Amino acid sequence: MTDAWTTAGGTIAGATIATAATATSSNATPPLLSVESLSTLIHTPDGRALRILRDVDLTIEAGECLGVVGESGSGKSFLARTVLGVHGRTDRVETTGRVRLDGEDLLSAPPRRRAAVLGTGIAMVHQDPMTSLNPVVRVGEQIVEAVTNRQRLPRGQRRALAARLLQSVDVPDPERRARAWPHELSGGLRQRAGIAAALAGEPRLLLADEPTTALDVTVQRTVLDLLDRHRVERGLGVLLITHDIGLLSGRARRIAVMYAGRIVETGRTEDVTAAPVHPYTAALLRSVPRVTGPLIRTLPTIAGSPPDPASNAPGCPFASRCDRAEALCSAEAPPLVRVSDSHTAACHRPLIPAEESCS
Amino acid sequence: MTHSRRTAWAVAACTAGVFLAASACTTSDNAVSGSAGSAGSAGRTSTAAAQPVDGGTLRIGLDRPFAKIDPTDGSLMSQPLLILADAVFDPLMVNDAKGGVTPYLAKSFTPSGDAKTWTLQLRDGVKFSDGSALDAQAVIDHIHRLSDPAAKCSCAVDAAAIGAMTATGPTEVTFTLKTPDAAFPNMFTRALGYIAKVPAGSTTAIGSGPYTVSEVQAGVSATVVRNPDYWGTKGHADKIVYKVLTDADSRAASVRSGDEDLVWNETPALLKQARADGLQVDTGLGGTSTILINTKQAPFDDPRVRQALQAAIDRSALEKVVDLGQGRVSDGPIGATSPYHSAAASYPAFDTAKAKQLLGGKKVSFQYIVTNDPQSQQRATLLQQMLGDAGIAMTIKPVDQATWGTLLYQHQFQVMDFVTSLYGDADTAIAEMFGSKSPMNFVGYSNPEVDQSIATGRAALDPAVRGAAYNKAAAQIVADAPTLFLTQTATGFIASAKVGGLPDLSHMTTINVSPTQLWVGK
Amino acid sequence: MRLRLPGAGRAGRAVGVLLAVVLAAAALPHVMPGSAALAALGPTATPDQIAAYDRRIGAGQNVLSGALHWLGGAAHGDFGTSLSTGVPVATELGERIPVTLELFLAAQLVALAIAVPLALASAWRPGGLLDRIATAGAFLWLAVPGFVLGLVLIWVAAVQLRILPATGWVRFGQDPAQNLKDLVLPALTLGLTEAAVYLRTLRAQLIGTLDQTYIAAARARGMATRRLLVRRALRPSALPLVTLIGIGLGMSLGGSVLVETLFAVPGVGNLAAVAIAGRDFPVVQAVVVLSAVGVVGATVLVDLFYRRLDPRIAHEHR
Repeated sequence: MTDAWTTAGGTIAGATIATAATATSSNATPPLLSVESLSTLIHTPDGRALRILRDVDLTIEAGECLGVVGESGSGKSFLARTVLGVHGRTDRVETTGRVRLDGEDLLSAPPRRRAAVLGTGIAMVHQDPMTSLNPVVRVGEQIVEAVTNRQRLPRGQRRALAARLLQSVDVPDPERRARAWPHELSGGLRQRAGIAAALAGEPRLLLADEPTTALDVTVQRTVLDLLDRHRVERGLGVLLITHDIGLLSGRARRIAVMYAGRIVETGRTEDVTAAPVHPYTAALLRSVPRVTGPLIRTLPTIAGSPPDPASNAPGCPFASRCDRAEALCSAEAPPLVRVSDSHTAACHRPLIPAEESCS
Repeated sequence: MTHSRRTAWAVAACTAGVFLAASACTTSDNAVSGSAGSAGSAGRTSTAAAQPVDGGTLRIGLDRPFAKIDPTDGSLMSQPLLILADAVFDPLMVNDAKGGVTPYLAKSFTPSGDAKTWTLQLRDGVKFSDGSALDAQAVIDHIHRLSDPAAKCSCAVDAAAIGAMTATGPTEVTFTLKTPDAAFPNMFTRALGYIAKVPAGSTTAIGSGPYTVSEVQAGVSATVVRNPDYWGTKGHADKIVYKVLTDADSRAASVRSGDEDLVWNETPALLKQARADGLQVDTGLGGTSTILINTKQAPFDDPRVRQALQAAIDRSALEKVVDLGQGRVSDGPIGATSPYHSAAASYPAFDTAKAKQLLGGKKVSFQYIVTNDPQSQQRATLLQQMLGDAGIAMTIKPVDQATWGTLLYQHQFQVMDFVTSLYGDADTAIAEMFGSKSPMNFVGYSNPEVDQSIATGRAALDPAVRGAAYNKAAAQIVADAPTLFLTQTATGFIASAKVGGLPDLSHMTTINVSPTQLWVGK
Repeated sequence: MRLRLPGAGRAGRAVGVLLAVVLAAAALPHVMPGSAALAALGPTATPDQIAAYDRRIGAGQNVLSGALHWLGGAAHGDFGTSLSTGVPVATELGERIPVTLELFLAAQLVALAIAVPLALASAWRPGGLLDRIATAGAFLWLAVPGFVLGLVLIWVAAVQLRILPATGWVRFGQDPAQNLKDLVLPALTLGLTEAAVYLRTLRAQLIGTLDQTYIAAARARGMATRRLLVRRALRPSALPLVTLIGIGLGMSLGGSVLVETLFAVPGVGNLAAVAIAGRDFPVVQAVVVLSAVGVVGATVLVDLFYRRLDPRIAHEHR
């Protein structure tokens, strides 16, 4: 986990990182996105309370891509939706913590301010291009929504804008494509349209929720390259959510690993992938099949399954599946240990000895 | 919100069942407790002022569609629509309050001694609405037109009784009948007597009546305007608008809501409701409900079985439940208000034990044919119960009007519901329904003594002799029970308080009101 | 061997359906219980008269020649003459069809005006107070038979409040104001019942649609709720509703017998009811075929409208 500002009032196990904190965060401007102790509770219709996110801390700087990786059910998509502020229509969600965009806490902002940010401050690229475009509305109309939801544009300007946006995502023949219906585009084109729609409002932060999961491998790369390009050109912050840690090499500067609603390890991509600190991260890396190298007949898996989000058991959520677990792991919440100035993990028995422990 | 409005909204929230029992739902704000006078039997409740008012438009609601305004149309000649026929055409004869007939368009209608030759004298100077004379020839032409099979007039049967007719003067017609008929003029109170003509080059009929047709949509509405050159008493209203409103409930509601001034009604619950609501209700015992028993089919060829049915039926219970006390128990083919009605007439009393005894252990079951009319169906359910108590199993078979007619005319029934206004005219009814040679003798009844009484009656110009003959026939018919007589039902009009001039119909068995009598106040 | 002409399949099917209906209509004089001749002519009819009448109504000939004869007449606008009024059937229908259509349109407007906003509001917050009231209300309306509803409306609006007429109808051309007043209660009676069906159908579809990702995506771009519902959620949910409206339109040409009789509206339904009871076969046959034309025509219209509504459909049916 990253450090929270001491002035923010977030909770951190231990306070001796203060010196290290000031060393890495000496810049006066706040990060583009700062998530502090974000916890959410969903009330299900049958009366249960599920903790989806627990004490999540992360930051993203402008122009930076942070990869969030985790298995299904880890809460990574929910994290994006909480940051954005758009949940399922019927979800009853309680959120605590802070989500700061350029220093302004959105969670405590009035609804009108929150609504103003949608599409213009923060934008989302959705996972499945087949379902994220309205099938009975032309592509161009949907792409420009972030703009037209706020002001009336005459038709000519709308069309021009749509074409421009499609061109910026390398869609050939953009005017024709703007007039097309979603089902007339291929999956890859649709995802580009989704990116164009996200960029229309000129957001500062882009949340990409598994943007390539539903695409062919060959197309995946082009789409990710496209995102990269726009990130660099516009200085966007990008939160790239994926279950495939392999995708993040060369794309995300830093990685945050999520498990059971918690961030278990954060660090620079090369550090985390080369020398994972948290046992879960190591297991995750081990389970990625490699094309090169000796043929492994059975893929390594992680035995067991993630804990029930309704439960509130103390201790490390990974304890039941960890091959390094001790009695302490199930009894006490793991502390945040620092391995280097940017690499942290929450673990009682990290794989690399800590420079400093934060306990 | 006023009280009545609040009630309105409150009741709007209540659903089905309450409204189906039409009488139940209203806690009517202006309930008139009980009806004026008569404890429920047909009569008139009137609240209108006595002074006639000329002018204005009278709005009348009819209960069934008419095909065309022409006496050949059977619907137009049915009692509920005579109020329209009377506006456009003049009948030669009309029913009087004493149960007889009296000349109207005719000046006189006199028989020969043997009642086989009749001389009709018309009024002088009567013209059709196109200015042509309504003379003797017009009458003859009218009768010819109606008796032509192409006209499909049910009066063709009546006309067949005429052997010959000639214009023996400009306003005189002499009829020679095939058989004596002392009640020949009765025929001219209906289609045969409503003199009409179809001018050359036209397809619509015209008459000589107090109003002329200004607009008509067949089966929907008709508007008539006053005829300024009418020979008789001119109508009060300038204009009359007739609307066909086939649903009984909404028709009655139309008077309450002020959309109609006067409507026909024969639904007992609605008549009762109208009285309670302070509307004018003017009815007579215009209908008789009977049961036809096919005497040619076993087990009903045995008179004891028929008499058993007769004894098993409680007529006053039927009258109370179905007619809600507004009708009268019927004791035979001669109605209570008929001039021939004898106080000595009797009808077998309700006696379930006697019914069982008459059956003598025989198992009787049959199918009862009934139309979709709600009162008939209600009656059928009660009959089923009553007969069941006597050990007779009756199944009810509802059919639609056309099927009912077919079964009736082809005599394809065992027992059938038959409600009719025919018995308003005892002369015709007894002969037509029970004469052994009559085509309308649907029950297949044949009794030479009854035939003899009918012949005697028809030939007798003296009403006393006629009455005695008919009563003799009636007694026999009641004893033989080819038809069971149940109740006389109230039929007539519901009118708003604004309508004046409603005649007293309580002693009439043929309901026929001319709109010239009526006016609509402010 | 399949015809390659576009639309030939559908046109062929439509014609086939209509021909079958014409045959069925021609069979009516044979099939309906009771003798129409006897009913019309009375007990004194001679066998000759009955035979002549039967010939007139087509009961004397076989069904196929009856159908051909009818088609022959229909081809130049002759649908026969009413047996009871003697008026040409085409004339009678010509007077009545506009009335029924007017009533139908008004009823649909009422139904949609009630159902669409309620469905949108209910689907947005399913299980909420408005949703529960609307759903309960819809069940209540569906349970109440049409004539009871009509009678209650008459009682409230005409008898008690005296703001609307209980019965009757004047043509729009004659007196527009009165015509509109005459229209309210029958349209409400028809429309409220339809509204209940539309509400439940649309609400169910909307709930499904609103869970779709593209709705969340639109919200994520800052779309306001009202605009989202009306402009992005309604169209993808409208298909079953459009089907229902189409069916209603098709059946409306046969007229709503119940409502027209209750309020004495001189439409096709009213005409049909009287004609059936009176075995006026030329009228009945014309109404039957007219109804079929209406249903077939409405199906075609709805199909065309589908394509406008959902562009994916055109794509499939190429």
